[in-house]
Amino acid sequence: MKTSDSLAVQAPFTPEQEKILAAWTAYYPYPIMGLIEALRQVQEWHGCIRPADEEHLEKLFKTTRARVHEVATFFPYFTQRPTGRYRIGLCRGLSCALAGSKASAQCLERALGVKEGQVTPDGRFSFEEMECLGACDHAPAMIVNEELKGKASEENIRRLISDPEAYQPSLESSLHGDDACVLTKHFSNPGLHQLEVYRKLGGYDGLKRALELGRPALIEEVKKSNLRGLGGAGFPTGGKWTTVPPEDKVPGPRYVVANFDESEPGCFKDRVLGERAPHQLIEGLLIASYAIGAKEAFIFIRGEYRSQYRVLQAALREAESAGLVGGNILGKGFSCSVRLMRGAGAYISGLDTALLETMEGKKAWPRQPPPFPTVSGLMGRPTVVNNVETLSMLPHIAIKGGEWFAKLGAAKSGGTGVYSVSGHVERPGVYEFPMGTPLRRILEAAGGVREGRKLKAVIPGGASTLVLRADEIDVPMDFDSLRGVGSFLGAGGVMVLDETVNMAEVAHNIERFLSHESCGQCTPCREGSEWTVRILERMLEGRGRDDDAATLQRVGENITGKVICALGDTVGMVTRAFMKKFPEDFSARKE
Amino acid sequence: MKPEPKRVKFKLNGREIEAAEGSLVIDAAREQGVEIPHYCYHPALGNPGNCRLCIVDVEGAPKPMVSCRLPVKEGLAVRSDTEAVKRAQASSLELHLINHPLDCPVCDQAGECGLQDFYMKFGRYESQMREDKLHKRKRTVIGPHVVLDQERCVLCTRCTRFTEQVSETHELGIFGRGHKEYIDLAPGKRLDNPYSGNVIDICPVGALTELDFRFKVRVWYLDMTDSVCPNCARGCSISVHANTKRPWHNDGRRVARIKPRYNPQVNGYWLCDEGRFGFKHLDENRLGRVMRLKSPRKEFGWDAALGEIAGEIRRLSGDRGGKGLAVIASGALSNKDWTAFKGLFVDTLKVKHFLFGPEPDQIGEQDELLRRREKVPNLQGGEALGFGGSIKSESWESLAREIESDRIWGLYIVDRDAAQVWGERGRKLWDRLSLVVYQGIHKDKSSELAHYRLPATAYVEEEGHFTNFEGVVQGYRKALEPVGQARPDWMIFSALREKLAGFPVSEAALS
Repeated sequence: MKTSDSLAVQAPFTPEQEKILAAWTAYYPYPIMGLIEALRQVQEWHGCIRPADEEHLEKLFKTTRARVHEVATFFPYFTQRPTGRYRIGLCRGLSCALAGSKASAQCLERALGVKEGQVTPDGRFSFEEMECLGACDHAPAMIVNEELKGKASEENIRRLISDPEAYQPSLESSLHGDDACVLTKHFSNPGLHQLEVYRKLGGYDGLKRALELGRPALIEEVKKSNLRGLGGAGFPTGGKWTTVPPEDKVPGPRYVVANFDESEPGCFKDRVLGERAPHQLIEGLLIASYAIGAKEAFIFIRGEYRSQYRVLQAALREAESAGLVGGNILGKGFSCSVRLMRGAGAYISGLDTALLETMEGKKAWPRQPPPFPTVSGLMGRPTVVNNVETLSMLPHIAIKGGEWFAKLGAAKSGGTGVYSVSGHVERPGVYEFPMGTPLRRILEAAGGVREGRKLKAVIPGGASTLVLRADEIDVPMDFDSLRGVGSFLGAGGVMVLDETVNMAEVAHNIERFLSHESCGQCTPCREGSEWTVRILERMLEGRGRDDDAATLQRVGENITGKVICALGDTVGMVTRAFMKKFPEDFSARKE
Repeated sequence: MKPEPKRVKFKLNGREIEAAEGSLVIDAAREQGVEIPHYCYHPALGNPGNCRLCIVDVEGAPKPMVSCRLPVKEGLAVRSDTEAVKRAQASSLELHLINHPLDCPVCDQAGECGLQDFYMKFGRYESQMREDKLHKRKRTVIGPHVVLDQERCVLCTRCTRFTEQVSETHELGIFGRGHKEYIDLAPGKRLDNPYSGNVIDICPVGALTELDFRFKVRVWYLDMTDSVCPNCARGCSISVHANTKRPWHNDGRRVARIKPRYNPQVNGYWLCDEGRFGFKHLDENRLGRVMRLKSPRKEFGWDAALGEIAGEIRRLSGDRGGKGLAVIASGALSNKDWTAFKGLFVDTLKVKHFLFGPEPDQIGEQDELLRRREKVPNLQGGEALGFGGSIKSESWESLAREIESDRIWGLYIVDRDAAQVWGERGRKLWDRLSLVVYQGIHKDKSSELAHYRLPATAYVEEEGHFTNFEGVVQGYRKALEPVGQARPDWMIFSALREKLAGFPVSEAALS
């Protein structure tokens, strides 16, 4: 008998399914850490999380119903009503919006005959607008069941819907990598993701060298390298490691987590780094683990990077069977396991303390240090959270030394940076340049502004970094220089805006993103972000008021510096920065 | 014993003050009479720092900090009175209120609402909110005692933390995300744990209100009196909120509600639902008149009634004193009551048969948090005078057998429904007794079957002391006037003892 998708039908799990779910309680060091993956599994089976599913997981994970329901309603990947068998997500992030995601949305609605957020009557398709999918180089990007399906052009949408299984678009990214590069040097080699190829090019020699150096010398090299956190915070990596309490003071396990939750609009370099050079990441992760004495390491990857997840899985299997991950690595007495975990669609999970909460099977509410994660992190254990790009640098530092790396870059930012360039440029893609390279040089490498138009502004480091005017693009791209001009390097998500763009619309797009991703924990961000969006919305609809700009200014001031985390600070800064630099775009919008 | 924390000096608003090292600035400030507004922080529920209202300026810090997460240390300099801080507080309040319905006239929290109070003290801004407010679910009954209004909620998480950490039942959660998040029951749950009422107290706004108390009487009409909960041997510190000025409110009931009163030695901040809602029948079926119920039925003055009862005791006992008299006591007597009780029944009458131990009718549920199995407040007070030590308690069964074997001629019952306990058997027992005196608060089976009925005051109508199961002695104050002729138990015992003064009890008769 065929069962319907109706919520009333609450078939229990099959014995095989129960086994699969139960396995998640045993996969990580603590049972509860498997909750997110178990929920993901259920979402995949049922197209939603039903009450009976929550009940089962509550018992399985020996937790409370409130906890399971909190998680199931916090993360956008989980739904309470069934999605379509093909769950189409269309990115509405800034770069995709600039590339016409609004028209794509209308096109999808027409083609499917349903509105955004709905399921087709036959249950085959559902369509949702999503926040940045980390594919700004394929703007406007769409995904189906977390698989990137490239540009959502009218033609592509038609082909996708007529045969969703067969539709496999080409997903080539523009890459800039030459001999001066560190991470992307060999990216032209199509087999780089394979262990054999990677090792022929010197892969895992960095790990070997690190193990020979010993921990103190290794940490010293990383300190000397001026390597800083490339996920956006810019905190010196070696410095972070040294705040991990030594084993004799705090015995017991300590962890390293690779932050692969790249979700900032404008950023997709980790996606490319992970899929092209997964072993570079694993090697770096092992080096970091060795440095702080961790025997267990994790890679937390956003769920929407499903094919990258598969690449990592395959790479890990190769590395494990080659004795590079697991016990007594390279015969040097160092043991370390690496496990993967996937996110469920929340940008805030990419913030280190929120990431740890997510991994602990909770909603991603940032913690408020102290204590810092290096002292009390995952399940209260000392934990280092490093970005994918940061970790990928480590093998190279181990081999060539900290000094070499430091010299590559700018004064206090060592090495190179991998930039995601998108928006109104000729060749969106990933570009690696030494720290301190002028922004203008990066734009030139990407072919300059599209169709010969005039540059209006650049957002240098991702949507949460503050906008620069066209006359400010000679700024050297490194952490301190960008702070000097009142912005941030962030995660290097360079978004180019040409003369056709209205900055009030850009501010609205970014604030809407931040408001959507606000975790809701602290009041100023939760309430202030939504208020800001609604004022901007009203202005854009032509119903502006004389005091709107003043209110936006005041609300922004009242949020920044008074919230728990960096996302909240950003909420209060973005619009004010746009208003300061482009006041003309915020006037003349009155009724 | 924990070592006393070191006292250190730090500066608050330019004034040097002393506080325990590591204590929170928000608490140290309150000790000094400086109020720093806050919603999420609660000393027993932690400091998640999510309301951001308690922000202060810290000398040398790049940005303001929340004082609920700021430990006191030597040399720290904090200001809660700068223009920047005041602006931050006012703006934070504004953000708390932009989507709040501002339905104060029909909100039962009015008068004791953190939003109202802080707006008047720290807000006073002119609202710039021009957009429509977001809507969430209004008044929902979420358990036997609590009503939830999601629109009024400021998402401070106090209640969810209470159910997670204190009652360990975790019925409440914060679901969804960002501005769409809301507080609610976890699916399939009800807020029906034995401590559910506490979420009403800790909710700083009108999101969680009391089902029964709602709209009965405005809180500013209530009189508050320090008292002690009589519903179990824990003896939680409580405050009795009485409605006496406007008797036409609160459906005519005098006690409007009971709230826990902070006492770190006994109950902390909490009170169980049995204690909190156990007062509902206080004014129902009250005994107000001193009466002889056996014929000829008669209403008395105290003096005449006690004289007649004393005469009956003399007549029935001869010179055997209380040898054939059995006394049933409730365990709800105050310490002073117990003393007078002992004076009358042990010292003067030399009674041999007592029933005071916690028998099944007084035993209930016990847990780790507050609730004790003995559902009476002051067995300990009797124990201190030997009841339970040198003086043993009968059981209902043993006492019934004594009566059946005609060794008992009279029964003096203090506020306990013997007839109810004995059921069918009771009627036969009663027939064998020549004198049954009932002294108590409410009409029950025994009060109806007694020969004499003496009305006693309830704990809210007298003052006294209870000694709890751990030996903590606490005083309770008089909140209300007695009903009718009702008198405190000690006064009745003492007056009866006076009537029996010089009562001869021959040593021979007792042996």
